[in-house]
Amino acid sequence: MKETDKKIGFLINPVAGLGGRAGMKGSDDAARCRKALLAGYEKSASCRAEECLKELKGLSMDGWRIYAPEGCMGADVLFKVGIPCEPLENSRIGSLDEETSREDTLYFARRLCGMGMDLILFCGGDGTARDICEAAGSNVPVLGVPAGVKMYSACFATTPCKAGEILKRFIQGKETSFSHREVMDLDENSLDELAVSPTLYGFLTVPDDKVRLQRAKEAGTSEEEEAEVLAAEIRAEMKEDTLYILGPGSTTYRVKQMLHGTGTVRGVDLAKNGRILRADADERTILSFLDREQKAEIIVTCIGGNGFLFGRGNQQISPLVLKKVGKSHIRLAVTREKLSGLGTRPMLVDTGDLETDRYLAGYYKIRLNAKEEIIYRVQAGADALLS
Amino acid sequence: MGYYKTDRDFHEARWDEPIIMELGNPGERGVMVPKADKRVVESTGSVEELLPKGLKRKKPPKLPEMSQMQVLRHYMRLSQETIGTDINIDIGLGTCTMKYSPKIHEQFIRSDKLKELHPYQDESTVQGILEIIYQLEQYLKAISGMSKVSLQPSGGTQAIFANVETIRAYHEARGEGEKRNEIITTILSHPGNPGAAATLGYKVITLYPDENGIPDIEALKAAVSEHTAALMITNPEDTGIYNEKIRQFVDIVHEAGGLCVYDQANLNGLFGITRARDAGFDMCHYNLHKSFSSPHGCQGPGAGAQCVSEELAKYVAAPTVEFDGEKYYLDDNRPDSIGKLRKYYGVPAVLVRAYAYIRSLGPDGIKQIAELSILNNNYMLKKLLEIDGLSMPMAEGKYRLEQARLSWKELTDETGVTTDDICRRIVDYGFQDYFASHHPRIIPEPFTPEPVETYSKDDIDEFVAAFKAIAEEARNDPELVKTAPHKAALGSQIQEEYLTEWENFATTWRAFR
Amino acid sequence: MGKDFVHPYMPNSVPEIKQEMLQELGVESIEDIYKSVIPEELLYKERLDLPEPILSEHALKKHVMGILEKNVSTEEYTSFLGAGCYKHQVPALCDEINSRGEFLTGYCGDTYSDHGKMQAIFEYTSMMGELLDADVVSYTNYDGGQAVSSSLRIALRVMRSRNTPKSVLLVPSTMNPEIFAQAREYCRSEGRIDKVAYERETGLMDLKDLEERLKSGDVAAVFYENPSYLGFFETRGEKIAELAHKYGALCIAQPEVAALGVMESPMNQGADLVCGDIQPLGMHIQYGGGQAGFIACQQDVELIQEFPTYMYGIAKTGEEGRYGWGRAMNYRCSHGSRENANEYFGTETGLWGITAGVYLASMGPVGMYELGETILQNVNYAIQKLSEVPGIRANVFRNSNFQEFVVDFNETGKTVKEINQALLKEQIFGGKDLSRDFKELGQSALYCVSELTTADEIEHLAEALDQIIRGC
Repeated sequence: MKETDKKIGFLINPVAGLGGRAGMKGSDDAARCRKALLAGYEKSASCRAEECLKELKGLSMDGWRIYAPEGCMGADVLFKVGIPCEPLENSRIGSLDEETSREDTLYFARRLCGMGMDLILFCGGDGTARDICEAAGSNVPVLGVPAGVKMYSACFATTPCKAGEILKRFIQGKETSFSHREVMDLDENSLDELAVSPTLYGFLTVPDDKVRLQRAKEAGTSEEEEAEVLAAEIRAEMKEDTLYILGPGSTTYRVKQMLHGTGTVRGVDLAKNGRILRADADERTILSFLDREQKAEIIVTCIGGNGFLFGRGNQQISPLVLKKVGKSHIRLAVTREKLSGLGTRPMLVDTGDLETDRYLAGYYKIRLNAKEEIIYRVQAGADALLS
Repeated sequence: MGYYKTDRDFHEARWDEPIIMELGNPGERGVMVPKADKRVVESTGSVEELLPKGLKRKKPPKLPEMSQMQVLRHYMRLSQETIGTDINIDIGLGTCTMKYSPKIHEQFIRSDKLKELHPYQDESTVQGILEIIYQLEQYLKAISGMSKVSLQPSGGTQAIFANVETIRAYHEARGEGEKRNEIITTILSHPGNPGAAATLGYKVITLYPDENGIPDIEALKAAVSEHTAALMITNPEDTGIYNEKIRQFVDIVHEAGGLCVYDQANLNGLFGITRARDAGFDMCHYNLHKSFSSPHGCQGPGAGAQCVSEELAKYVAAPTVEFDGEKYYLDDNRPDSIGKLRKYYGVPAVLVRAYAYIRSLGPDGIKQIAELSILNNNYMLKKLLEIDGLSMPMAEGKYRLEQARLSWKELTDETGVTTDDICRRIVDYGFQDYFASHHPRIIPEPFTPEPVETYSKDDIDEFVAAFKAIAEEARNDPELVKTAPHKAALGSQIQEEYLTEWENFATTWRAFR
Repeated sequence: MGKDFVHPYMPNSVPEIKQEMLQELGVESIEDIYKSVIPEELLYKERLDLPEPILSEHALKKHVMGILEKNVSTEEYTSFLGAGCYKHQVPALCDEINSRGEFLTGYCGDTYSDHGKMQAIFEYTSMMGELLDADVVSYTNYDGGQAVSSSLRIALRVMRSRNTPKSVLLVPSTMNPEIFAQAREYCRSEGRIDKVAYERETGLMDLKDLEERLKSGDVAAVFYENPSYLGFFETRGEKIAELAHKYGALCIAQPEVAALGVMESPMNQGADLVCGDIQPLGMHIQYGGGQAGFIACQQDVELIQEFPTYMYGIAKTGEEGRYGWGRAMNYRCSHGSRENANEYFGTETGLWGITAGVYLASMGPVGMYELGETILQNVNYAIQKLSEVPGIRANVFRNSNFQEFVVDFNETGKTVKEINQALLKEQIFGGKDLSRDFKELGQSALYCVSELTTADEIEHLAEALDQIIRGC
């Protein structure tokens, strides 16, 4: 092994998925998990991880080192499938094999980040993704192996095998581009209430799965390319002397990257004349800027899967802000791929003020590029639930 | 009695046939070529003498050198490794209308009286083929309600393209060519529509369906403007859901000054039941290799029919076939025409088949095609939807016409087995792999079957039973499905990076090696 | 006959079966189904105005063949027609293989159900690659005209992706007029097609005019045919390519595939893209229905990215030495970004690709050589014989020809139409009348021979023309 070797961190949340079979809506609740274990429910996350790692069979690992917590949080599974790794000793708690918790995930994720990983492979669900996001931020490349009960986040491969394929390609040097994907979660205890929907917790950097082979008669542009073109289109549309309120998300982040200054993935940023004036602005800041500006526009994307446009992860763009800017000054930055993920459901707004929500409802033109536009429906979240 | 077999032990032929570039031996010949007469050779000379300097081929092409029987055997084996409509219950390939192509038609098109006609022969010597083309046009006018038909398009998408060229010509003639630069379509309309529109530089506005599976009137109202050149819409779309508001759609677009174009590539559920012109459309097109029975020929040759209203008749592709009461002739003198779409005049063999097909069915038989397609489809859907894990999103409780878009999402969520896996596994049961969806997939894990009128009830039952069995496999032995196919000509899965990375990309043997 | 009847193409037209299915659905009639979804006012209430059915196969055959019998085929008369559609020997294997139900009725089955079809298509592109000396060959498209049109648009896109957008496409004035008309409409929204003058003496592209036009700096591509539509070899392909490249344009060439056994591929004369029609390779003339196009180039990503059609790529499998196939780099086909506005494509001409593969495998290098040899000899003999006929000029452009040549009838005082009418009486289809498309040539016709043309037929033509011109 050489100092120039590349590093992969590997982390399993052993209790992920446990809640599913036990009829729970998730596995965030440690006490309930313990009960489930005692009741004889088996942990399935390590099996999922194994499925993923099997894809690496026969692959040369020259030039790569894998780091994993010893025991059930990683090293055991690697050992089982015969992939050499450097176990991270457990100095934090006594016996990892018995019970693990959020804190363990956070602890090891932070440690791996500190060691400068090229990629962190984690196995779990939305809760695990949140923890990784908290520990790693959105700058360390990660890849999620789906093993949880709740799987709203977009940072997971579609199946454990797919995750293995992507990992293999990453190791072979074939997966070299990355994109920001949403981390979402919902409070499992309030799941029984219909009105609840997942909240955006942040973004993770994930390798792009460029393999988009379909049995379809025609295949389209990859989501990455589409988002790139869309961002360029939006950048070209941006007018002088106009305040732009740029919402969070990977698509709007691409626009932010085309401006001077440093924008945020998660936050609402303010920009004017090609320059970011304020990153991560709160409602009050936005309003104070609006007071000074003649013209303002909002550029916002929706959350993949549930389609929330306002009211999830961008509450800074409050009803007051929305009313001040006006409906006709909202530019939707949504790719066709993302719309496809909504099925036929409308995009939703839930600003906390029904009147504002209904004001925002209607049909919006989304220009994808100079040649293509989509007309899409936006509905008040409350009304969508009624219908 | 019947056709339904529950215990079919299928295995596709697996010849492991080498690439033809590796077959044969130096010196072998597959066919002899006529030589020039002796006196011709004597008075002209050799290749070296007759070719200009510098144009003589330096190295002979590295083509195989094989004897006749060996060439035949190679290709016979490859044919056995292909599942055409002739040998399978071809219901899975929805939107493609994989119906029986009557064998008697093949005798017509392989007669010297068709296959040995040159397109520039004197009209007096091609009266037969011109008559067939002309009469076919009349039949398609009756079926569509339109006033003029051009059979020049080489395929369905080229007919769509002809319609876009007609849109352009119409607005240009009215001095609005520049202004009317937008074409409205729907996400579930065939991608050929936005594709052809974009080819001619139009901006495309796409509408999405609501929970009823059809685009909203309000969305259309938000889309039309003085820039609207046309609406190009399929009905039913791939979902088989009939857009009952179609007349309103047409009226809204007409009011805005745009034309309305009906994509009727697949007419199988509509024959004699409803007509494009009666819904107010200005144009429509048919794929003659779909509803009109021409075999698909491993992707062509097909043929398209462009059908237009009286007002647009002068724009159709030239030449047209006309009849002056005594003889049929090609009319090239059409100053407003959109011009040529292809060399000569259409794909005559496909036109002859379509003609013979209509003649063999008559008005009632033609309508019965649509009725039985609708019956077959709804019968199949009832049976298919009994499978746990398969659902039919949108427009719940509504009948579909000739096809439907289903979703394996529930099964995928439960088992991890995807539609692509099932699509490979179905080959092990002796069916062609099925059509999932056009791009993009707005319905997850899609599956689009179309049981046209030529399939029997038993055929449908066997088709359904196969999917039922696969759904069970997905639960009991998902690996079996994920690693499929096992009984196909190709026994293992390909390494897909060969199709997605330039460094591996090879469309010829020489490039691969 | 009743409204519903049992038809051999519709098994469920049997009333009992239909009833059973309706019962399963719990509806009275099929009408009930579609009336529940189609609004009343859109239902067509009349009976379609179509002729009554011809039910027996025999009667149908009598009827259809009865109409087709009115045609006179090139098997009955001697044909000297070409002009883009060429009658050649079609090996029996070609018809045998493309009649096979598996191929004839296959469609878009992919890697796993249609392994054989995919291999046959890959073999076609592989053999075309050898014939053209090109590494990359597209799947077949509609016809040579489509191949030329798409190649021209590829050039426009390449220029845009190089950040040197250009809008002019140069073609020879002697170009196939049908393809020219097709390409002009196809490219109109993106660029303009201009014709380069030709030398009156030789017919060859006027290189001075070409260079003048290239100097504008707005030329995306220069296109030429070899041999030209009017039959003569373009002997300056290398020079044309050199000039095109000098001014930053691509060079696109359309070779006649039947000539490639003897003639150098334009690929080896500097052309960037080579395109054309494969109809001569095993397709019957079929009143113009046997056409199919190809586009080829070397392994150059800049060009391949812009190909608008499917490409079938070879892929390794888990088993050593076994290959599979699939649609490669599919995202090209509907590239959605503004700079790369898409071209449409659909069901094109797959069966002709497979057939051309059978043809090339049957012919081999020797067959292709002999094909070119016989045609060269026959065309020169025809020129000789027609030159002996007083009053006509048999090879207007004093040049070497492949299979066609222009015959000038201006001196005869007769129109080509009149002459061709008179030839019909001799059971001869005379050459393609050029008087409409090439006004500068007056009453001229394009005559074509092939390896099938015999010395007797050529001599008969010469005699017949002699008599017609002399007014006997």
